[in-house]
Amino acid sequence: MNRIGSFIGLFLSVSLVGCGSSDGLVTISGNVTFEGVPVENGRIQFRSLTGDMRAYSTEIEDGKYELALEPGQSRVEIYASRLIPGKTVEVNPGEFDPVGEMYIPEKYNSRSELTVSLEAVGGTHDFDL
Amino acid sequence: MCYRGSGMSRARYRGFTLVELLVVIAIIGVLVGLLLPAVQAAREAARRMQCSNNLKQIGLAMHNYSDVHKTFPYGHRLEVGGDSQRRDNWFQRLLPFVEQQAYYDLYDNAHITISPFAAEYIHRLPESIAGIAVPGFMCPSDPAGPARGGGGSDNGFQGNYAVCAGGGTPISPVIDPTVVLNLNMITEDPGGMFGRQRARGFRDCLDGTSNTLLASEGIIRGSRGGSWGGLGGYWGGAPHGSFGFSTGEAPNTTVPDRVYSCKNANDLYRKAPCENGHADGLPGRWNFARSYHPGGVLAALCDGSVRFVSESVDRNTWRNLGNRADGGVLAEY
Repeated sequence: MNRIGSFIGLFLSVSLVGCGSSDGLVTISGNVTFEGVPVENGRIQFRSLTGDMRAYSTEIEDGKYELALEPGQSRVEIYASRLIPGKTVEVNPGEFDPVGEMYIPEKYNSRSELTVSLEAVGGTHDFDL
Repeated sequence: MCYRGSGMSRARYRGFTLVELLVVIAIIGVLVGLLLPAVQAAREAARRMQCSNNLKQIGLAMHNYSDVHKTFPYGHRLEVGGDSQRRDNWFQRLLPFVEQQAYYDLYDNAHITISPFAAEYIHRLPESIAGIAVPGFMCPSDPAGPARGGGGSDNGFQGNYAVCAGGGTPISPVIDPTVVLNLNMITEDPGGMFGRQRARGFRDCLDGTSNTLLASEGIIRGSRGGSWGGLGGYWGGAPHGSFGFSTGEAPNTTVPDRVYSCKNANDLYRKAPCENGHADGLPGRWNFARSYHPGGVLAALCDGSVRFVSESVDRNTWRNLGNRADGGVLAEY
């Protein structure tokens, strides 16, 4: 009786081993402000500077972001846009679309100088541009 | 009375004990537990096989096209004022080679049967022509199909497959050749087999046909909705990004597609983030390979073979697969 019971226990424990996340990603979160004002709508991207330099991207909503990414050194790119009041362009015949602009300077995105070093346990990283 | 053998002495009935029954039930329970998730996976496996076959057919059609025209089709046509069939792309070129000759003729004669005005831009064509869904261009794992949109007006068919535009080019080797890439696909030569106007053939495939991507798949962001440039928007979206995908980021990346305008809201399509290139004032247009198949995407190579590529593929391997003449040695993928 005891032996059979322990066999069942062993079987179940063996079959349940390995059920758990093992992708090596950590979750971080934080606030993003530009000139003191929270970035209402935008995107933040972390490009790992090690390995195959994979990128992880998420939306910034009301100045906040949260995403899972590789720990280690990362280059950070922050994008946010707004419409230029009153400006339109005729892109297809007879169709006028409002024109927007990306208002975050290049040094925070396409020519980013922002880097962070992420701990293996994740945490909070705020960006005040 | 006659008893055969010595049964009489063992007349006591031999049943199962409670413990034995419990063991049997436990084993059956474990087996069922293993099997049930597998049933759902089997459905997805069947859909993936069908998707794989679709890509295989596209690969074969490309080879047949090449036999006739001596090159693959262009990614999309250069727009010239006054031209007809503006924004024509590889999808329309391939129709006669996927047994859709009648459909191709319907499209090709639209300037007579409909009007020259409608035939100038292909997204002006009525739903009776542009809206015809070609089953071989729909991945069964994407619940959006048969979809319309991706090419501005809401009447053109949108499929799941796109051709490979390459893996981006370094913006400036001085700054950082490995990090900063120009992913813009809307140029004559974005690095892969397909771009604007210029038709390339097997001789352009310097890395070898088994080392260069031909086509892959993407996610359609909903069955309907106007937008320009979503992957697979064959009727008008081509010069805004619809014709192709970039291998600048790994499959199913969280980095958003950047097209002229996105179809439907981002929060409904977590696996296919998108940013409005035009309204947000962002330069460059690109799509990335995406799918609902768990763990990666299916991709056809120029030799006609179809492979499942994991989303955890090394990013540089994926980039080199996309570029036709990078000269890089491919790692295992």
